[in-house]
Amino acid sequence: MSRPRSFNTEALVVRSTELGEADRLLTLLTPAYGKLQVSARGVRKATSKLGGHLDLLTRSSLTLSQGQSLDTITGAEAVETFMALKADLRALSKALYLLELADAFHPLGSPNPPAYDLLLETLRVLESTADHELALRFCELRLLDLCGFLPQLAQCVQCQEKLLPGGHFLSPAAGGVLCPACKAPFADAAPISVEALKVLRYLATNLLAAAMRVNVGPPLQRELAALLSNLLRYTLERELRSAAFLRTIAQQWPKAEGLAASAP
Amino acid sequence: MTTNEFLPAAAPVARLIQELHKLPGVGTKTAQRLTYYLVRMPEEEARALAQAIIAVKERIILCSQCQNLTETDPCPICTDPARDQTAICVLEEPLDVLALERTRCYKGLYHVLHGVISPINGIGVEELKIRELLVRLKGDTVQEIVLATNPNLEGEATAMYVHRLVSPLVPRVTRLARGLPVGGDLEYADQVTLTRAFQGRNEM
Repeated sequence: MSRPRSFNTEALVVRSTELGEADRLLTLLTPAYGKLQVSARGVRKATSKLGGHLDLLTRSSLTLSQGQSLDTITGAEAVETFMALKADLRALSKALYLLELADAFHPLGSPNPPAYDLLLETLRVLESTADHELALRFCELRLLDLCGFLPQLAQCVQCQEKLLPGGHFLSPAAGGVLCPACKAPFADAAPISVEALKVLRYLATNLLAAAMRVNVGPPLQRELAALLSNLLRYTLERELRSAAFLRTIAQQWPKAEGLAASAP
Repeated sequence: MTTNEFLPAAAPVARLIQELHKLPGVGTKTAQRLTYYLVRMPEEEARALAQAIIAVKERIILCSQCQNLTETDPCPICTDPARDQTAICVLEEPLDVLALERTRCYKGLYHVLHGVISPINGIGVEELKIRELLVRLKGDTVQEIVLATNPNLEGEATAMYVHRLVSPLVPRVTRLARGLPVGGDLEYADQVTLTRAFQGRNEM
């Protein structure tokens, strides 16, 4: 969608790096214009009018004006600040992972409104519940879906036969589930349990609220996390950098707790 | 940028333009202007500049205590007997030490982390000088840690992380107040800043 000289949009700040003396280079996700890279002038100064409205993980209503190489933010007002997420390091590490995930799946431009809504919806769930894992899996799988990479889960992706109970494999290279007979040519085929397959099918076809009601034990959670991590690595052709931080926090803070209450 | 782009200039001039262009905030035009200024500069001034650059590279090290940039180890702040040895202020960058020293309201020690947790940019807890801070907390000298990272998401995340690690070791962990800046305008303040300012309101 071509942009007028000056335009308004809402946007979620997904990446922020320092630029020049007091500016920031922001990566924004917007519903109508897709991913934008814009400059925010002077926002690192203490008296900046815009700075507080343009922190990472903040949804703001923005006015931008087109520049020669970068658009510039001329007005900003925070709409949703996710304060509860920002006060809990465990939830925050997951939110940052989602931001990087969404950033990786969006090429510059090319709007994808359902993916934008999915990200916001998942962030809101992270903010309101203590158990986040299934929400992350939901978001990962649906992002794959919305960007055209949903693995085939209904039948064997190779022979197209209906899957018989037991002994299946998931191969990111093949693009879905394989029956034992078709597994051989795919080196990355990893076993997938019947339960994991069922949960993935359920996540792929239901709403987030319904998905959050599924009861999944820790071993199955780990299996799902590993399966999706393989799919994402194959699709994005790289490891997400914030995944390492996610693991550090999960190891050091094994249990959920309100950090906000203990913060000074 | 390759040297070929500056073919009209003599080779040493082109090389200096290229080197200056690597500095932050210096574009091609600025680099060219600075270069021609340096060419016309008296030789002793140019030498002084060159020597100053060499000196910071050769003589500046990190203080083994506070990790700030220093010529002597431990640094003058860490060895100053007049300073309060029971308080450590944790900062992101060496430049933040200068900012706090200008206020003259803090008389304790510092600890520079050299960055903030920024998972999206690949900076995790291992890249920061957090382990060095924990080493300084052995023994019971330190009574207060002041977390003075920037009041943005990454600074807050770092403060939360450090807080969790140091709170069992120090009686008091504090965070710089977040609220309205002097010379600011209430009308333009965002919700988070105003909420924080309200929560931290003081008796007059």
